[in-house]
Amino acid sequence: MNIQHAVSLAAHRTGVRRWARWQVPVAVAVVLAASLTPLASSSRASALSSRQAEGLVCATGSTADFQHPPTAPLPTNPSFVLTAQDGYITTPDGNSIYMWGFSNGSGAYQDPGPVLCVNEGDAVTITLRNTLPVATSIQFPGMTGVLANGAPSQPQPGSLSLATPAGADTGSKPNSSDPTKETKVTYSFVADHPGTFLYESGTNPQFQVQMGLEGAIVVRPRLGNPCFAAAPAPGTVCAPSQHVYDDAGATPAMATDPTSCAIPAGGLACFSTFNPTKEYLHLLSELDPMLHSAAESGTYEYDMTAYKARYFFINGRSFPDTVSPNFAAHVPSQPYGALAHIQPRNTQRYLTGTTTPNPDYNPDPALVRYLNAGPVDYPFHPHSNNERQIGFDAHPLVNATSAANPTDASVDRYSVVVPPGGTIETQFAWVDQQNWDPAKHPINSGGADDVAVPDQQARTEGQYWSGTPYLGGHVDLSTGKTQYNECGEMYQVAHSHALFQATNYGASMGGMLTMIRIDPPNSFAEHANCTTGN
Amino acid sequence: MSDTAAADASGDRPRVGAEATPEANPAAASQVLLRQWSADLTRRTLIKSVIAASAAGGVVLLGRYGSVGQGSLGLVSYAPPVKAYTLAGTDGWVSMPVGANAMPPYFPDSLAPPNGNKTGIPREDLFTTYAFGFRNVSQYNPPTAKSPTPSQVLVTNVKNHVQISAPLIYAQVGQDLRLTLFNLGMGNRPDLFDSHTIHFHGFANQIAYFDGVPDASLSVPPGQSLNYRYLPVDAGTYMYHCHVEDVEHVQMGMNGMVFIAPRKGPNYTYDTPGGPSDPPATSTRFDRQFSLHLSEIFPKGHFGDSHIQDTDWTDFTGSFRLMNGRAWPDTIKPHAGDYPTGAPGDPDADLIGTGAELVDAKRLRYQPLSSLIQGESGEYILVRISHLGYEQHSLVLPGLPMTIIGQDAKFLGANRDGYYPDYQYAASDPLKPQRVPNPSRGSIETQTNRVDLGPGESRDVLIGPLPAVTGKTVFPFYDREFGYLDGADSTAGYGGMRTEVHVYPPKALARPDDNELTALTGPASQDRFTVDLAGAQKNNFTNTTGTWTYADGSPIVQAFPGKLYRPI
Repeated sequence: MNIQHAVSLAAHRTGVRRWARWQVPVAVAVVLAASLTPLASSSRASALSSRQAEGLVCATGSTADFQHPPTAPLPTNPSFVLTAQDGYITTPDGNSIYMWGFSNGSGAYQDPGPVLCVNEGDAVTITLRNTLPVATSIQFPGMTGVLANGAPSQPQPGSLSLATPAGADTGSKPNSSDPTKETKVTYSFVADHPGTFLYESGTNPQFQVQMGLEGAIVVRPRLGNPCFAAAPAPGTVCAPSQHVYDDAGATPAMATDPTSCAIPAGGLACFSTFNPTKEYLHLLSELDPMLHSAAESGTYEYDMTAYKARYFFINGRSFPDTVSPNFAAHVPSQPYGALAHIQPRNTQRYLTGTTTPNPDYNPDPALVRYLNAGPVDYPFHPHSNNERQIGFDAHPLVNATSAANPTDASVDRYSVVVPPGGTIETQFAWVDQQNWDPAKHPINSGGADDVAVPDQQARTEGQYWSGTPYLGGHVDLSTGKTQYNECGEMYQVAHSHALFQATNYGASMGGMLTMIRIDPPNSFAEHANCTTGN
Repeated sequence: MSDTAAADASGDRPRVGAEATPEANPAAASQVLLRQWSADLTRRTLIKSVIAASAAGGVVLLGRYGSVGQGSLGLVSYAPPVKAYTLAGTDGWVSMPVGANAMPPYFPDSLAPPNGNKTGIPREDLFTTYAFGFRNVSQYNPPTAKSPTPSQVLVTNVKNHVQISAPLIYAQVGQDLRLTLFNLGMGNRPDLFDSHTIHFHGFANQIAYFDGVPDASLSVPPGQSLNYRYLPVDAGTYMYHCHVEDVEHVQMGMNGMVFIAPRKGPNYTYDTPGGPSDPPATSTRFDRQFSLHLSEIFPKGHFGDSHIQDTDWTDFTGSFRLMNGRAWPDTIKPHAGDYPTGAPGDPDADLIGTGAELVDAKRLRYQPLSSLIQGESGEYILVRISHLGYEQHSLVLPGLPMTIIGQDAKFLGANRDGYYPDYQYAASDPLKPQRVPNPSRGSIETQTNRVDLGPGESRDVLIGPLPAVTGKTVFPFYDREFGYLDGADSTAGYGGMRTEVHVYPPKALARPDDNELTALTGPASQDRFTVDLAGAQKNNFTNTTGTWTYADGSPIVQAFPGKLYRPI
């Protein structure tokens, strides 16, 4: 245990709690101001502006990436190199934590590991290069037939490993004796069914997984990918599927027609369709900084029975970093944001009585892929709308007991409980159900006139608030009050409801918490002031 | 009564014009009076009451109410019946079980004040635990106010006299649910000028303004109020809690249950097809309903707040595990007395009982809600379970058949609603249900003797038909973790999550009396009306045979949710 680090940590904790009690909004402001990244707007100024600012980012080398669609010929059988290495992450309260993690190829340390997007049926090869001072390996829960160097990956007798660990490669030695050399192992498997999968360390996992050796694999279905047609025409662009699963009854034509599933009206052909520009990753995790100090000092003296998580993460970040864009400069080793950013659902394709496209047409839901890399259930509570849970551990929630008449067993939840090691896909959309409108349906309509907005001096304002109850309305907050709101959008939080997990070391409004940003429809004048994020 | 039936028969729709007359609509009347009361409170008494706290906090904020004067355009053709509550946010003291182990220095709290008992036994004479929470102060509107003056009662009876769990709130699909939150400030901690909010947990498609997240909207500083409005379309069991510094305020007690009855009637759980002749698992009909709102107490955090100490909330451990704000064996003690509306659980009602019962009644009056469940052979009992603690719980009920028919305010049976709320504005029927039917959605109901749930989840559990018994028969309903206190040698289950289901032979329990039925079905009731799909007024009750029944003809054996009846 590094004494100096422990002392600074203790001092830091006291400070956190002192300001947290009174000054959470101020603290958030300070942190955000210091990081210079309030929401997506700063992404424009980022040096990384060419990169995707929001949503799930597939790693380079992926074969199924919406943002960078592969072109013909069909790329298959992807190969990835994951380098286990150490690095540091930062937390919003100013702490810096020693981590281990997987980086893409020879890339910089990152937490979590790169998101590997592949197509169903791909033969996937992953080479693990280990530069850590300890042995490590990768476990692929949910995948079957995983090979390591051509033989079944399995626990090694006498070791702490659940999977075949990286070993001496030609010209290298195990780095426990020679840290300048790396060890290697090559895993391979066939991604034989679609869904969301975790990959994580299989060695001493109670220690190594929370050290950060974790990541996500997305397997997209064959359905809807034109390259999987019986005889794809030469030059066919292999657009990834906009379904999560191989929905029964869906035709390839249906799967590529964005309008065919606007109103799912029967059958299960559109069971898992989503808007491919609104796909989000929520990889949930936690850590005890004492364990990380033990690893950093090299003593590894840590009593697992004393484990107490203090920081809680979505995609390796704690709120408010979670709402910063992907690749935000102030968290260089935590590249993935977790801000969901949508517009209201609207199923009207054409303006009434015309063939003019409706600018607000937005029929397809957003998709969230949840993964739990931690040791306990995370009861994740999205505000704004319930989410429709469509998949669990890479299987669709379809009751196929009657093969001829399968039924939709999806569940609408306001608490998405993600179990340890589990993965869940949810769809969500938002519509202004009450149609609150300053002219047609004001909040103080229908009865006594007493649902009024209080004056500035009679209220405490939130920095994300637009200043009005109405979507698309924007009013300045009190003089001197920081306002992040750009264009009358609404922010809704989404967080663990074991509320101590929605803190940064006990300071509320932090940790495993992110936001859902709902922009006004395109036809609203204020929408012109919105950043699109993507 | 007969004029009501006539109005039903004629299909008249309520209109804004009609609502302007207080006599014509008691809800509207109470809204008007509420405004007057609030103004009175602001000008006269609140200044005195808040001034000390304000001085300590360095802020003097006086209430302003309805000061934004935009004209109310309103909907011309449509005004749903209003169900209104006024909630006050403040602090206070509550009591954990007398037999629970001490946890020095955190429990019992050395600052806890006397509770009015004089037995000579400290645990019976003193409260034990500091709390924040909400109180239902709707009754302090002038029509039902107690002497001497409403605002004085509010300050002396409510400030620093909080309750846990928060008051049970309910409304019906088609009603217009309005909550006014009044922040009374903290009596024990005048230095804490915390704002409060109401987050209606699980309300689908909420706007940020009514969602109660202080960062994304606004919150209520001490001495101020804020009005929330909900037009519910999805029946089911929800929760509400303060979202300001949530890990602290929720743990300190600012959490409770809210449920929405279906348009079909208050004796149903969801708007599914089927009536009294259909199986309850598909019609969702019940005879009695009870609420179990779960939470835990982390004594170190409560001690820290009363003793002005910071707490590291990641240290959280639930030492007491609560149902409706009480731990076993307090869970099966009776409710505090009734509100003027007839609903049980008013801390300001007259105390009930003599001797030992009175001692418990004094000790537990700020935990006013019992968790006892009762019914008669052959009946179906709906138990709504919600959870705003931070741990998982697995509740077992050996000996009685149980079906989980709802989860997170969604029916789980066959032909349940589709997900998408495709609602387009129509002035004539702004509350028309908008879920897209999806015939392929199959049943995911569970028949079980156990229900487990985590933080922020809810379940609707149908227990029945209750078995034939020859006398009162007790079935324990308890957390599988048993909930023993930390430390050695606790009495079994002391401080834990445990209650009982008492099953009686048919007609062995008293029936609602005339006063209760009048409170439920009469002109002062806010539960009487909703609107049907066409926007026409719909009476939830009928009296065609000289006896009040639900609209579907089912007898009223329990007038209010959770109401308990004595054996006869």
